[in-house]
Amino acid sequence: MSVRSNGPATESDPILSRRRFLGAGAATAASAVAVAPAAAASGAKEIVWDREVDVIVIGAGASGLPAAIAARDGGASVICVDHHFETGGIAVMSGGDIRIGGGNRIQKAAGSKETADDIFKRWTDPLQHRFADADIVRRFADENVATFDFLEANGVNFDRHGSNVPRQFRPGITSTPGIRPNEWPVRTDNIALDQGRNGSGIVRPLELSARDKGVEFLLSWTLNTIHREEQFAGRVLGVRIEQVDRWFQPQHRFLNLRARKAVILCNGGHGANVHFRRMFDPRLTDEYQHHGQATAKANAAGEIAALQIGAALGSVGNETDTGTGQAIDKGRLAVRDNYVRGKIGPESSVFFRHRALGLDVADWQDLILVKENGQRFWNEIDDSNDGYFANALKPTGDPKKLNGGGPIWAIFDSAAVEREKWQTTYPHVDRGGGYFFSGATLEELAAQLKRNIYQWRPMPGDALRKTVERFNSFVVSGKDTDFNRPAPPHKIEKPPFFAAWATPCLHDSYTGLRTDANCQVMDMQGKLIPGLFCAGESQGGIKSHGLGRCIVTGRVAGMEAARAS
Amino acid sequence: MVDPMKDTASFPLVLDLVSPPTQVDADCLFTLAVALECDAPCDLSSVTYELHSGENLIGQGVLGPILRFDPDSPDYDPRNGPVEKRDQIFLSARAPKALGHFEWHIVIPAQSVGDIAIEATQIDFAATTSIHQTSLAVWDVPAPVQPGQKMRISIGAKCSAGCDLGGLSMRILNQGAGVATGTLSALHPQMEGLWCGEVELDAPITLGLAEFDVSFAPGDPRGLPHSAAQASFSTIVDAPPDHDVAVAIVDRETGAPVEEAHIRLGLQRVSTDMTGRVIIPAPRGEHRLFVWKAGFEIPEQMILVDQDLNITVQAKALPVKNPYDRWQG
Repeated sequence: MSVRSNGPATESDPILSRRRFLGAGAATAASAVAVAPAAAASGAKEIVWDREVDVIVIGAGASGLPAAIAARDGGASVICVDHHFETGGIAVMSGGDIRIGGGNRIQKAAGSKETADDIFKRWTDPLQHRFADADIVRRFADENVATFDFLEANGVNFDRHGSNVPRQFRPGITSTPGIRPNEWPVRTDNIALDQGRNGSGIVRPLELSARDKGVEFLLSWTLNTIHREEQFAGRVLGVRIEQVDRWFQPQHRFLNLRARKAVILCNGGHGANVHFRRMFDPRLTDEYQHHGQATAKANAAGEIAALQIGAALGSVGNETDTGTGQAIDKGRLAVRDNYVRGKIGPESSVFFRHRALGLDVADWQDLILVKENGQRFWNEIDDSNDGYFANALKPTGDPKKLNGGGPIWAIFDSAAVEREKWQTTYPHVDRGGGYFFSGATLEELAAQLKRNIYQWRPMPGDALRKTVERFNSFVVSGKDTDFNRPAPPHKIEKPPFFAAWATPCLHDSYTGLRTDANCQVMDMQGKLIPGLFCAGESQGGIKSHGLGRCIVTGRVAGMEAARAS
Repeated sequence: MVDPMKDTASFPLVLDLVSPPTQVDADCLFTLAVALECDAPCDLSSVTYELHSGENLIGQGVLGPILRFDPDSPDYDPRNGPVEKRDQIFLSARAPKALGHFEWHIVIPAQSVGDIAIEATQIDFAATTSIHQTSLAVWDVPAPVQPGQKMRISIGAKCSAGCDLGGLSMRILNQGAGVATGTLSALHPQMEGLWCGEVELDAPITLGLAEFDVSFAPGDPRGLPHSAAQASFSTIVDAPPDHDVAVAIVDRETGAPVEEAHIRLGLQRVSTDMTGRVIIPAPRGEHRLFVWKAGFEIPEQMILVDQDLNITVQAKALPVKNPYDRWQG
């Protein structure tokens, strides 16, 4: 039997196969928990507890797995809850860049003299990291080496790293390195099936280790409420979780889990929660998708539940850094979640949510980018991300939509398809979902875009046609007088014409709950909330991309939670 | 419920329109999605229905296959808006020929399916008929061209309702004056409903950018009004070539040929072949040589063409972008 509640359930299913590979430890958690009707959450005395353990971890990704293992290592009994039917969160499809240094084994072997102090300086740099919480960064820096050892002790394998030593490891150079583990060898477990998704080499071994050590997993359950003795006072008692289907839709079945020691929030941040992210940047309206949302949704469940019991946010200034973290490059085309790396194909267990492989662009000279009104806004071959996003997120003049720039479409013709060697059929493009269209004429193409839910008003066909005709005249004359694209070589004229979703997607969460250096959550008065911890992208404090921040703080939170009285 | 007179079970049927269109092309087939709610323990796909306009019966048929809610289907995705969880049927109907508002009643008469009695029900549908929209495409436009050169271009037109546009013609204008007429002679082999033709016209004799308009006024083919359509295209008139300029693009580091590099010499646009070479006919004079190849940095240069030339351009391969560089901050 599988612990998964709502995932695909056929014999050929890769998830089921992997569960078998993982063995009996995966088999018992769900059946051990009786599903109860929703319990009243208005007061601690009225709660009917369905299970009781020492530590409950919300999230089974890059911070949740280390937290669960560290808590278990500290002697705590642990249940780890995740809303996806798999573990691994978004980390499983990450490139696996782990920014932990400070003098770890690989660094020493490469002659690096880096110390924890170098790490601290790096992530508190007054120019780039002026909003960092230095207390949290100090603990992060001091735990780097121990966390590297922790990963190796829990099965993460860096054997092949030697063949790919990044430049930071060259002797005499001290800086924060990015190190990568080996990719998980069972290809079908890796969600994103293109090579180089080395994040799988972290989360899959950690899951295996966690199960071996006795961590229980409840998958397809999401956090609903944090129970506290009083709404804004007393210790945290446990959580109410709700079952979700394979589309993350609530199923109105609840469990109350009591945490004798602590609840750790490791739910991956808030990037996929439109209303939460718009507290920091009002431009990030709902057309912007979140990287990895088809795998695990960074829905701010932990942050919201914590705010409801008086928690505070921390280091919110970090969140304003659009250029390096929130938004990604121009991306892959014709797929909703169009992050340029991490290709999800039909053989992946989450393909039903991702829906298409997408089209990689070899040469941006093959297309133009237009906004929802059919007009260009950028020199398409310009890769300066900050300028691109500033223009992409600029409104298009509809007085009903003054925030956010609306959908962006790549427009090209059949000659471009031939040059790029694109395939415009399943599973390469998402036609059914409304992220790829074709038409015999530009007007016919524009008329179809209304099938996309974010195209809130029709794209005027004549506007698109005039944009393309003007662009074609630039090709003929050799001068793009609108955006100075140098000598565009290809006209867009040969039917059929195509429109492919090219709206930028978002990536990191750089703010979250305010904690102390031990990852214990603080309230609005700066007091620690007994029994509540937070790590990874749901925690404010460090503005760092990648898995290092998540793994280190997850491990710290797990250790400290196990010590909680 | 049970009808005591007939001693058979009788079930009410509730109909609802799902995202009905408010505007349809006149005299054109369109599809209506209708949600069905009925507790009858039988297959409703053989139930008959009628379409009424006022008191007049204008169509009838059987419901056909019933689409059932299926969260495992490829089309199911709750992120794309509300999911229709009711059983649905799709009725195909032809819109009235007359332009303007129309109202229909979709009627399911009382009838039996085996031992099950279905109660009569109906739902109203209203929409507006509109004239058919036409739109154009123009392709294979040569550029540059020489003064007065014969140009052959392809034109295409499509009706929003897929009407036969064969034999209809369109005008090509330059600076407001008609310069050619083209006739739509055949359907495009790969695109449904796109009627195509070729037009031959003379390039202007004046050097420089030349812009053309295409005007299509289909009138009333099949007795149905169609909108007019227009499009524009441009070419550029260049002096006749005097010399051949042979250009070779090589990788600066390896000396390897750079194939499929896009070259612009003056007004000419060409690409290199597998050997990284191309020969470009060019008129006498000084021209800008611009080379584009993704992944290479190639500075542009001015070339004086006063004889046949052989030019080798060194292309600097850019380092493969490390996707993690942007995360260093």
